[in-house]
Amino acid sequence: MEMSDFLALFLEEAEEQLLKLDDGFLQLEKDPSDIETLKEVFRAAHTLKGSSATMGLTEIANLTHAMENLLDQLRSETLVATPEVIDLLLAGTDFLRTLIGQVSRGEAMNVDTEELLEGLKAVCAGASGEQATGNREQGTGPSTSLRTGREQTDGIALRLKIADNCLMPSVRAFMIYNALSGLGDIVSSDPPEEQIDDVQAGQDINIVFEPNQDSSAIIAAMKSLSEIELINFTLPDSDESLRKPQAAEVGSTPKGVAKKPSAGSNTEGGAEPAAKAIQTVRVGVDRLDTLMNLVAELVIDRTRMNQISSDLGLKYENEELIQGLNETGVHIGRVVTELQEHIMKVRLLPVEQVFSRFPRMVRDLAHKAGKDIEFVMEGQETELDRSILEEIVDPITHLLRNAVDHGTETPETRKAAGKPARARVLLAAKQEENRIIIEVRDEGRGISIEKVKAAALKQGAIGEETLSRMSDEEALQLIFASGVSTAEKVTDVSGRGVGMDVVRSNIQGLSGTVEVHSEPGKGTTFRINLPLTLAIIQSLVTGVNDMVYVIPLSAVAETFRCRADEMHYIDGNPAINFRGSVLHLVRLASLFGHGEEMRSADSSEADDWVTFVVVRTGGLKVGLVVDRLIGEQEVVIKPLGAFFGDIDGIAGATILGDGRVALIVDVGSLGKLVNRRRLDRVAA
Amino acid sequence: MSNEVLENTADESEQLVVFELAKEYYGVDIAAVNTIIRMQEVTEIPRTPDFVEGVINLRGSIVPVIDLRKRFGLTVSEATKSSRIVVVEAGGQMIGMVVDAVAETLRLPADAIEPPSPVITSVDSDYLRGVGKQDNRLFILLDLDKVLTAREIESLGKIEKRARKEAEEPAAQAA
Repeated sequence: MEMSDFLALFLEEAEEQLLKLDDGFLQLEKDPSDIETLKEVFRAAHTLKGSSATMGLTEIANLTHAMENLLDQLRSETLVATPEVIDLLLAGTDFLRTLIGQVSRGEAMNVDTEELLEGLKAVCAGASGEQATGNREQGTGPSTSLRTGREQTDGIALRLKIADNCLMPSVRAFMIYNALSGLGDIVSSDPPEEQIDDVQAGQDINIVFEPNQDSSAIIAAMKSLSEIELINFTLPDSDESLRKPQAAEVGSTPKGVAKKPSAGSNTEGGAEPAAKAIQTVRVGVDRLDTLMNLVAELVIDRTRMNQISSDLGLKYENEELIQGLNETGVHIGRVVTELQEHIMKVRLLPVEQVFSRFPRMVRDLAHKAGKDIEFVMEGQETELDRSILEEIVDPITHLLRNAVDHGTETPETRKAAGKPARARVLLAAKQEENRIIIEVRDEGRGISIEKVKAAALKQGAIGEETLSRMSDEEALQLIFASGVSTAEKVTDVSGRGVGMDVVRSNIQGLSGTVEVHSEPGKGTTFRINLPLTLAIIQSLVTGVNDMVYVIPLSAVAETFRCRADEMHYIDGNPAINFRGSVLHLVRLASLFGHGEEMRSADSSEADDWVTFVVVRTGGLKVGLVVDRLIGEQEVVIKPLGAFFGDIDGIAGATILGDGRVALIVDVGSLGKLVNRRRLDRVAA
Repeated sequence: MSNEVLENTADESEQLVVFELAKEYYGVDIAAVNTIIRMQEVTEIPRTPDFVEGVINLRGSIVPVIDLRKRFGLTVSEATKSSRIVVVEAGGQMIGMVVDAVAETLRLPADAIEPPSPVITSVDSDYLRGVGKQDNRLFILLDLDKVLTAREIESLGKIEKRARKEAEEPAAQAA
């Protein structure tokens, strides 16, 4: 491994540990007595300290060390997790994040942690002082007995061997000392800690150690270090939890040693970390992407093979070989489908990965805005393709910020309105068939539909006539229209930042949709609907002239046929009365600039049938007129590439079973196109 | 007299793929040519410039195709049996160019290449890298990067801007 690989690994792990810390601190703020969480954050801080020290990142190691000390006091109940303490710890993670960010960008670490370190030390010192002056008799919990227990021990004798083929023996030795320093005190060691730079591969290291943890935790910690062999582990006589095996040959009976203490009272996770490390493998995203691309190729070929096979069947009717080919084809099809599912699953990650940053953000926002908010998350285990996951952070951040800043009222206003002062903000994820639904809900004042309408009119996002025909639900979706500042239309509060149109275009870029529902005085819900994956979609294949257009099934509400003379014209645009409401029709052929002009085409087929596909875009429905429906098919989305850039109305291309290229309709941006054409027409 | 061109090309000779377009011979660096295929059905892309024919399926990849006659403003003709699509790699992307016919591959000594002159070719000299001469024949050497991108920036305007945006934030480009 190169040093840069170590660094990448470190950064990745550091990010995880930071999230654990943030999460844990917030949890502790809610429930200071949550001992499990406390252990969790302690472990995270400890891991971070160890790995940063190994990497030679002293600033990070020092800071985590100070935080760890404080956490240790919390754990030993000599200090209580007051909001001030939590603030201090959260400030610590902020600093760490900045430092780690600087490391990842290859910059020199340049953050003044002095004050924070002082603060942490002061709190620690204060707590110990308090403990020394009195209150000691109050602490009758298990921690006290553990401390007393420790005072009687003579220490554990550890004998470790650095692997013969170890490339960086001194680093490994350093890791040993580091790992142990968090689990207790090193009484003596040979070679001494100062001389670890000179440690050679294959060398033995003897350590006498006074633990503050279970033996199992120490064994696990030693075993989790790579290239290091635990040769001998001699327990002190006074350690009650593990009296029998005086000298356990860990290598030969790992289970026996690991299991016994975990049956006891106070385990620190036992041998779990070591076991986990064996069961998981870190794989680069690019490798997964390559696999996905290869599977996509297979899907295309499978479709093509089915086509050839059925063509052959027509040509040579009684050929037995074709039967064999068909059977093989079907089997390959099954395998490919399974392969595809598995690889897709590998790419799925729980939304927790991105959700975990939000509690902290909401807390800070709420503090700043003077709101009393209970932030609730649901369905963090819901899984989503990682490429989508990365892209939804910004939209969700934006929606949450709105919910806190503008959706939710101040406690005073809420009380005046007869609501509880504390308001809930909900972020929920769930899977519905092949879609993922993410909701951001607040219990605030709701969005004033009149203000939205007024703002949209003022900004020219919509004509007065069209607006008058819209239902309230439809009109509400206008908050996603571009060029309209949310601040003006919803609350008159300025500084709403980026517009909602960015949220919508982000989501649409992911083949998703976003809708808003709001009840005045009761709250607002944003509902984001996303595909599980971006690479392969279910679609409706349609024919327009001699072209084939593919419409993502996720956007299709239904397909329908009407007689051409049922069409009406509103402002010169065709529409029909569809299930009691007006449905605008758009002819794909004219929209994409091939085929006859719409009017002449209409007149020529006055008593013909018109086939259309009803699609949802935002909260609106539009009927796309096509010549024929070909069928449903699973297609692989291929980008058109940089040569074309974005083309309104086209999401990409796909390769059909006969090898032809078909374009995939981008229903989201289609709406934009339709509006523009309508505007053009009005202007003309 | 042709020092700049000479410096840019190999010291000894250049190997070219030679194709025909409106009765003139054109050459592109053989290293830039990915493959040459027969004419095939091209899927049109709406709202793209006239010279963009559309896209084809090249072994599972979507490859844009342009009509070189239209690109150079030459008289447009129907595809014939000898028409080919020369797929080249330019600017990190594969692009197919429709040509009348592919003639040969040719090794041209560096001293047979002269800088482009507007007098002897019907194509805008901006697109040219030089003109090669051999056995009384003229070979117009194309500057692929310019043919496939530079001028497009002007004509495609908005599209190019988006393409650049895409290049800057590839992660934001989903499907």
